[in-house]
Amino acid sequence: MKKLVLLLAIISMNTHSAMAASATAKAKQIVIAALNITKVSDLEFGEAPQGDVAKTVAAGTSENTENASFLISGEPGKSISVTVPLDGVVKMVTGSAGPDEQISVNNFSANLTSTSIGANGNTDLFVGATRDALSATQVAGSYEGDFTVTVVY
Amino acid sequence: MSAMKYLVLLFVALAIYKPVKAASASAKCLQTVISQIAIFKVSDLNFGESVQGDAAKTIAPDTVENQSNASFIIQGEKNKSFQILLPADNTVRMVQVTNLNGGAKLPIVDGIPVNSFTTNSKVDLLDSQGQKTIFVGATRSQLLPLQNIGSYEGSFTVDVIY
Repeated sequence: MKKLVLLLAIISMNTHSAMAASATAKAKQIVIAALNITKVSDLEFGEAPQGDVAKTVAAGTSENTENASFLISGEPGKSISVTVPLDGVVKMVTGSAGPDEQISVNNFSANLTSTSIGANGNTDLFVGATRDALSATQVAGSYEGDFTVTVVY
Repeated sequence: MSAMKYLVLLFVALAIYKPVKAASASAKCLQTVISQIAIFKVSDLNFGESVQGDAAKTIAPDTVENQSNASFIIQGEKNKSFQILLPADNTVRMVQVTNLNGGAKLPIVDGIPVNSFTTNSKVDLLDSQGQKTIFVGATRSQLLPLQNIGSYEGSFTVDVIY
């Protein structure tokens, strides 16, 4: 009987390791900095008389009194792309936004200091656009309209 | 009848009687030896690059090797079925191994959990060559908005049994 028990024990030991096996792998993830964009300055078309011709503010390569500028921060070295508003989307309005209280803004252009985030985690974006000609009966006053710039990796 | 006659009769009876004192039959000892089961990692589970605050990401096991799923090769007895045991939830966590900002690494509690491990079938069959490749996927949790940037890694174990 003892021999039988011993035999069973040996069989049990011999087969145990053959019945199961395991392997280890890694799960990997790289976390990069979130992309942020902050407005530094607005697009300023200045002062113009009724009936004035269309005016274009160039995107430019540095901050000036007219162009809009944004600070983009994110993962150093990472490429980014910028989307500006399509034509027919942005209007500056005054009063109750009647027919002579609107000025369309189109042809948005963007100029990135670099197409990738700098080593310091930042890059600058400058934006220009063209406002329509003003009508002869354009209501005098201050006009404002919002536009959104989107940046993605 | 005299006692002598009984005695003679007894001896005669004993002489005729041939008792069965032993018998035998044969049996076989049977043992089938099968190949050991073994498992080897082919590729890791790669969640790639994600921004801080990114939503939870699931890698499907898929049926072929790709750049995300983990894969393992199983070797053993031809045409034999085997079971696959994957990690339970709340047991695997990727922790930061490099910090791209150069700052201190976050403690383990701030690692990235990996749960819901999946494979195509919990029971599979070794092929006629005694091999099978299995693919494993899982879900990593949503990243914190201020999750430390850098590389994260965590180990997980896959068991196979006949």
